[in-house]
Amino acid sequence: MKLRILLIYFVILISVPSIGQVGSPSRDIDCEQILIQADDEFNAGRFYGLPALLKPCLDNGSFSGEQKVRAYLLLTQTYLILDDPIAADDSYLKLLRADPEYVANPSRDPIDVYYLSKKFTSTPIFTPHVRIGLNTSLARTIYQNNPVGIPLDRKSIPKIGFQFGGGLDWNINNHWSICAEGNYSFKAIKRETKGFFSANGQAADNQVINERQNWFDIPMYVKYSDDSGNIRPFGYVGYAINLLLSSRGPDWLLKNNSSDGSAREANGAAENLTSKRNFVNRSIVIGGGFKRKIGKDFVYLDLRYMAGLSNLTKAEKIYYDKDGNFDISNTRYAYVSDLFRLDNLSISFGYIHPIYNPRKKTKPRLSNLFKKKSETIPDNK
Amino acid sequence: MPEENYFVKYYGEEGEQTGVDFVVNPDGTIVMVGNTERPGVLSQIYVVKVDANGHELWNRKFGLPDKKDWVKDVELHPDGRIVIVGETEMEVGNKDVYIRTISQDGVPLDSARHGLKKGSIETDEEVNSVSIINGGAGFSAGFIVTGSTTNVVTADARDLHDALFLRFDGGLVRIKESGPDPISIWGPPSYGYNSDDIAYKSVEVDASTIYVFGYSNRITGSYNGDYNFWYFALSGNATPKLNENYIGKASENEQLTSVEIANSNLGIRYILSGTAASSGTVQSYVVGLSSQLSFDTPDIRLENNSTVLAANPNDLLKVKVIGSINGSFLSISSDSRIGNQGFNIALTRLNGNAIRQSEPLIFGGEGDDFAGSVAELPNGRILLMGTMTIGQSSTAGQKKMVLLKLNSEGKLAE
Repeated sequence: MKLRILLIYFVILISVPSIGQVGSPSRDIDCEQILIQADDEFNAGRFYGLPALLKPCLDNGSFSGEQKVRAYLLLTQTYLILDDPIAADDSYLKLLRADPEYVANPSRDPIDVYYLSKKFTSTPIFTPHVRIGLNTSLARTIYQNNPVGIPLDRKSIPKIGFQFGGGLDWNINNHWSICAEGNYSFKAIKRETKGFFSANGQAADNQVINERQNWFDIPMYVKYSDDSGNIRPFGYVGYAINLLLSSRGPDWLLKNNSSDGSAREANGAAENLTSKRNFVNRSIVIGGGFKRKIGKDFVYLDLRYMAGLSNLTKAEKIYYDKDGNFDISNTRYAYVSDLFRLDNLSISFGYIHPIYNPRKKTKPRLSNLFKKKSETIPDNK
Repeated sequence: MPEENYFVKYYGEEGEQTGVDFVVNPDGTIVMVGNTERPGVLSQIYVVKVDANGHELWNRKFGLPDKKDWVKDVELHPDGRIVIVGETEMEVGNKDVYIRTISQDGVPLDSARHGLKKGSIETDEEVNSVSIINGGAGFSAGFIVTGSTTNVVTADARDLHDALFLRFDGGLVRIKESGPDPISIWGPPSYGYNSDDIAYKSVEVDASTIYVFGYSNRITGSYNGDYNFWYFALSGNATPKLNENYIGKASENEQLTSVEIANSNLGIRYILSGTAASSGTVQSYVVGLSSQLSFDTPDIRLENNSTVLAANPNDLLKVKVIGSINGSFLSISSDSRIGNQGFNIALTRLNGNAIRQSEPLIFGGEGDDFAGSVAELPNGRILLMGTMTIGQSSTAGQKKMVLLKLNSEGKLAE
């Protein structure tokens, strides 16, 4: 058999002198012409000279990315016809290295290439990404600590914060991935309360409370992504650990209005609220967006809602300052913190740099695990 | 829910509202009394009823539209009536006693205003408390309003006040010195010497004896003219006066600001507390008296200066000590030791010898805050009531009635 193949190569070499002429690598070669010629040769059924024909352009890097894909696809087809599966595998692997996003299509590609492609994947194992964006937070009251004996009219006013960070996706397959991020975020909330100390409903005092918080959020979630097209939607759901690094209350105000039209205001330096807040908090994460392919990388837009699960407030600390003394803000502003959860809505722009790893598929990892396990079970029979 | 166990809540409206005293009903609701001053309105008595979590159920204001009224005390009658007592300033230098009963729904029931005259001149009556009297064979049920009057017996320059103890029957009709019914006679309602003699609280002992506690600067025996705690006994119809005694140090002015009945303090029935001012310092002063008073030194079961209150004497300083669990005491005071924050409310637990067990717990802000009253609930939690200034200072803020519910350690925590 080997002798017969060698004989065929020899016949080809002496019967096709043109192939020998282009066999010497040169930067001056018109690789597009070579590629067209190789197509013609392939269509004419002259397969044996194709590797040699394409080699100079492949070796000296004269092909563009798209040409490289066409060349390796042609070689893959050729080796499949020549019944050389190892060379076919190698060519297809090189094709994927040239275009990790290449997906064989039975309507476009020969069926044998399509089936061969099923043995390969270029899905990145890990995909790092960075993000930056804006957010707004909503304090969801668990228990309203009312500093007066009558109901008050209290409302939350959305404030804008920002966040930035990065993450890593562990891709289970082309669609599903398990993701973790680490994000710094600045979140702000504002509450306005009316109805203090009124005269028959008139001239009530009003209170403005701001809170600005520094967070380190660690969301972990499962993501489903579309794997083809220029714009690829994705969605995810998961859980986050939210570390409240610090919290302060600037620009607080208690405005004491009188029915004669006069008013007295209480304000002062920012309040330190960190000692009144829990450091470790949790939330549900849900979000989605789309990513747009730019070269081999992506940019993305992500809309995320983190629904707080934890009470941020240390109930036993709300009346005391960080030194354990009765907090004068209790009297200066007639304020005591509610027990509340914090929800956060964010929009982020990000950049994804997939670490492609074209490779032959192995058996599913879980199956491997089970197999190894079963192999280590001693035979008791 | 935190409010079930601890809270700080302010009560009031436009203007300034102060907190003076409160009672706890058997159902856990609380009736607080204080005073209110609003733009264009003279001082009125302000009554607020709240539930056990501090939520306001109703509030009422009492007083004459063209006069100033102040409340001094509130008591809960066994039949559920709320009894409040204070003063009405009829004119400058002429305050009259004002007593009123209201229902638990805040409905006004009976009321009375009474003043004394010295000849044809109206005198100034200042009220400190009201006591509910069960009555008996010697006298009828009703109330005694205790305080002081400028209707004094001598012309001595030191004779500023005499002790005052006005009697009212259950319908707030004043019982006077003469009348057709022998059990409806109450002797002269004032008593004193050529000194400043002020009664603070009357306590019914039995059907024929009433103890009156106060303070006086009478010069007698070893007492050389500074103020000392003073107590004496009245017979059932206030005539005759029985024994009396003085307690205090020669170098200090002791002024009584509270009288409480002890319930779990060994050998002690009456807890007297007030201020003791000496050169450069004002301290709290706590005295425990036995139940059967002999009006002599053996009556005194404990005596101590428990806490420092201020550097200088001030009429706004106040101390109230009540009996607490395990024979200990709870003390609240208006305390002005904290830097630049004016007056604050201080809560201190004292041991059985009235020695403080730890540093006072301070409640208050930048403006002046004043202690009103304190009570210990059956579950050990503490209710503390008074006045706090909301805002940045006493001048830029407004005073509001405040109620604090604390745990047994005095903390705003579970």
